[in-house]
Amino acid sequence: MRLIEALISALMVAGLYATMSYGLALIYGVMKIINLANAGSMMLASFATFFLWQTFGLDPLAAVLIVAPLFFVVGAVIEAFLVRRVVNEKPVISLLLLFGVLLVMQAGASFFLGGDVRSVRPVYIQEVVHFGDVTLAYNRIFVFLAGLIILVALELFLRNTFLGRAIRALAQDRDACRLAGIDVRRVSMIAFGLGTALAGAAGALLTAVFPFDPSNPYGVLQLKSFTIIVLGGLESIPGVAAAAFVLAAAENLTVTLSKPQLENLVSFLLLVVVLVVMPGGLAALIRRRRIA
Amino acid sequence: MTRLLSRFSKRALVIAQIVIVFAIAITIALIPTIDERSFNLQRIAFFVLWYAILASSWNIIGGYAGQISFGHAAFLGLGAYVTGILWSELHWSPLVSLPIAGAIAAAYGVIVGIPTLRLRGPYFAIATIGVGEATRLFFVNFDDIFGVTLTRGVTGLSLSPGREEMFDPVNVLRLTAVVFVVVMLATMWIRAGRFGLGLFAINMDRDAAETAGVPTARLQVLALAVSAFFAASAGSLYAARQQFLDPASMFGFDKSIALVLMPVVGGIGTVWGPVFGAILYSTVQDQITSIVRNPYLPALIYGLLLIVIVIFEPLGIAGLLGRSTKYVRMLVLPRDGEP
Amino acid sequence: MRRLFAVAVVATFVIAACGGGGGTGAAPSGSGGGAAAVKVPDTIHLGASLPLTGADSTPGKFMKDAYELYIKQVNDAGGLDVGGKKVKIDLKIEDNKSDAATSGQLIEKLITQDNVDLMLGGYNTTTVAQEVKVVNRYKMPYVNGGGASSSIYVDNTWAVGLLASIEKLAQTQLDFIKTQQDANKLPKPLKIAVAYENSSHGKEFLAGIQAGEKASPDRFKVVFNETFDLNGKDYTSLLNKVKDANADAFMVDARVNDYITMQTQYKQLGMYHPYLTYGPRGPEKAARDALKDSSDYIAAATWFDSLMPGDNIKKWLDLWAKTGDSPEWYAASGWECARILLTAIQKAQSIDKQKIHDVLFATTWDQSLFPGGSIKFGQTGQANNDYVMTQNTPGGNRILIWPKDLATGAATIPIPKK
Repeated sequence: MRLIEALISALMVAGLYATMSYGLALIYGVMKIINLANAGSMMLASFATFFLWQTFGLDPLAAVLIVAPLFFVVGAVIEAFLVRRVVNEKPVISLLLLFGVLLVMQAGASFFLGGDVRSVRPVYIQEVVHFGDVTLAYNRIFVFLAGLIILVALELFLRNTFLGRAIRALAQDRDACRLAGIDVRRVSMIAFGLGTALAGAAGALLTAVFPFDPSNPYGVLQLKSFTIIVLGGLESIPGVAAAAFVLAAAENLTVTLSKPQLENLVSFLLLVVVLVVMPGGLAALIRRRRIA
Repeated sequence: MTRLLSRFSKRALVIAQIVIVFAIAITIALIPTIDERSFNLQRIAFFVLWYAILASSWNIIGGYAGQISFGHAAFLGLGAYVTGILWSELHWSPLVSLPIAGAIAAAYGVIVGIPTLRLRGPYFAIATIGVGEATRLFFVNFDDIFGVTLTRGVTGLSLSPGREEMFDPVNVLRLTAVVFVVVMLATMWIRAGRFGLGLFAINMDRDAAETAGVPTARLQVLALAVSAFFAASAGSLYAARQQFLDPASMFGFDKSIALVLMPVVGGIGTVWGPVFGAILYSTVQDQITSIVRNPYLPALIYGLLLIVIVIFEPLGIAGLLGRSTKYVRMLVLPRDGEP
Repeated sequence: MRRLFAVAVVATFVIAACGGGGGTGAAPSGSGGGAAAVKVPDTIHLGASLPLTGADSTPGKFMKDAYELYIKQVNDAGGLDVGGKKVKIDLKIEDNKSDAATSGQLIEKLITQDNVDLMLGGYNTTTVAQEVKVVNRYKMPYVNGGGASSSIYVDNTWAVGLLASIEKLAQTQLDFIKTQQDANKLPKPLKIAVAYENSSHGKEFLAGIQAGEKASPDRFKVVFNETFDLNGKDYTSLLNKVKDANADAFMVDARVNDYITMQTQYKQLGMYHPYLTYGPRGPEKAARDALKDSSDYIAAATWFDSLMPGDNIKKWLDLWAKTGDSPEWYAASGWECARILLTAIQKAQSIDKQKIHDVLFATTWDQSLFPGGSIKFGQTGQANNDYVMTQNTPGGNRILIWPKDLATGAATIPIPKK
């Protein structure tokens, strides 16, 4: 019974994990760049959500609708002014650049807003629902549903809109896109903006379940999102969703069956192992099976 | 211009650099002898050398081989804890445990390096983040996993003062100066020789290097091992001086970040770049709080510096200096403007 | 080229061998014994490293305010009477960002660069342990009220600490539970589930409980114990395991932020225990405000509570009210540190470090805010005052429940089921 509860709990958290990883996967797919500043965007979004809640009493879930577009703009600006200059250099250059952006975000937040822990307590924080023996908190259910909506919306966008398909095309073959007349620079900027917006949405949702400060839990979450996108296969959105669940399940099972203190260790070990053993991730495994 | 530069034989330049290294080390080692009570200067000197050792060690894998490591604190912490544990359990002096710590870290570097250095693009960097954090968590939970009392986990490992003369901060300072010389000589030697040449080739284009017969995998792993060795020796020095270790500080991501910042800001892939970066970093870390109340200002500055450097002057401080007088340029960027 | 380097390396070791052998160097000390009498300056400089930002920023800020308030009070009255003249006090505080290694370096800087005369302590066991190492190396007196673990004071000669050990905290709670068992309010033996943070603080908490179990197996039985990492976000799996343990009491050792997170999730899971405690956490105003009625009936054992009787406590509360902050235990602790150090200076009539050290250890410090009214530092430097226990009551209030002579009300044990 506890096992089932652990898995359901994992499912709830997976929604959050997945949302924060879609952006990474998208940006990598289109620009072949690892956006190290992903966690930084999340963190700033969390603070924005906190201030919206503190000043207007706005629920974090509703805040997503304000925060996500805001961070779309942030992402687009970062791409246009910074990332664009180094897109054609060696990957380490963009890595260092975005690392610098992350540092500025983190240090800036600490510098201007202080390092204290903040916590959003939406009205339903104490409310729970019981399914037989299993208890689920409302805030987690809502965050999970929000994550599900984002997943569906994202997939619909990527499959059914021209822009979405342009983004997917860009991910497959940049030069072919130029030949096809797609404005590569504009689409790249939009993709980066979209990726940052997803990080922003994740940051807003996170406030509904966890307390936060400029460095926690973002460092750990950043690593987890790396694990997830590598596990899911860097360019596949459903792969990311599945991988998010696998990671969350692994963590929860570690806590339930073994010692809780090993929870994070498991995620990082998983990252290293997957990178080494399965660079294509789950998606590659599935693809291989389909071809074979 | 090129003709003028080639007049000054490479040999002379190398001798000049070696002399400078010795001069720095000897001067610093003599500080306690000249003025016994210059504790503040000794403190500052230790940390400048210490950061220089760390930055140079990172530079071997991150600068020469071009494999950015965001988890280098793993080796630093490993070295510190090996020395710490050998002291607290067996009362071994850091003089003895330093090379042991280095060797263990080098072995760890090989184990981690063989599977991860194969990875292309930014994946190695991501893997290092994972390794760094996993190592930290491993040390935090070590005692509980193995049912022993060795690392003392989050609380920290406190080293009892032993035979006074061995662990005197003055002796540690002198030992640090020695290690500094060794590291600098090593980096210069690697630079000048075939090992360095191979690393630079791999850095520029791995496939081309492979085609040209460079044993890329072996050289990269070797670079990581050497880098780990020196980072760990810095850890040992820290343990010997501060006599208190805790996993959050030793393995923390902050340390790993500093290890990347220093060489990159100072001049990635150059011999003296890491030293410049170390001087800047330790000075700012130490003195900035006397000027501005907010302790987050340095990190903000570094982030901005990093962005500016990546976009405008990839060789950092060394690059800036290289744009000045001819002689400075020759010392800092001996290969016709290349590092 | 290679020969060049080989020569250089050999040269290095030769020089090192010569240099290393000569002289052991003076052990650094502030004012060496036997030195000329230390003159009393016009201003005495104190130093401290506190977590003003980061995870421990709340207690850090309270302690800073407490230190500064006491010193201001002294300065406003003209200063201290030392060596025949009135001397002002100056305090320099550095922010260690709640990081131990940073704190160690800041302490060293305060000693060697800012040349402070004496030091006040920091907060959080690991950080204080690091600071104690440094002050011992420089033979600098150091008074702290922020580190409770006994591991801090191993090999210590120069630091003193106000906070009694965590084992004692756990034992105090068990003593209280015994009285409840005798009044048939709690079962005998009491099945206890323990969750403790992964630190020496947490481990000592568990050790204290286990010692109680060993001494009285008919009274206490630990049916579950597990450790968790600091700054955790999700305790639901851990809490589910606690649920399965079917214990009568849930005893946790956690930091304030983790306490808030865990208790929120505890209530979300609909959990219940007749006795619930988070060690020293519970009565803090910030936590009460965040958790509201979710934190009702939680018991706690702390080093000080503002409900304690006594004129000196009332006087302190009046003074403290001016800051507008709630009178938490770390504020009282900070105040006591400043009071004891400054009084020591006055008693020693000097800032000579050895004299101050001797006065600190030899004196029984009366008029204390802490339970018992007086503080005496033990041989290792740690004090051993009693704890006072509180229980949160509805409406954001609380009562003192232990020891009997300090109790302001009867504890509500077992906790009422909602």
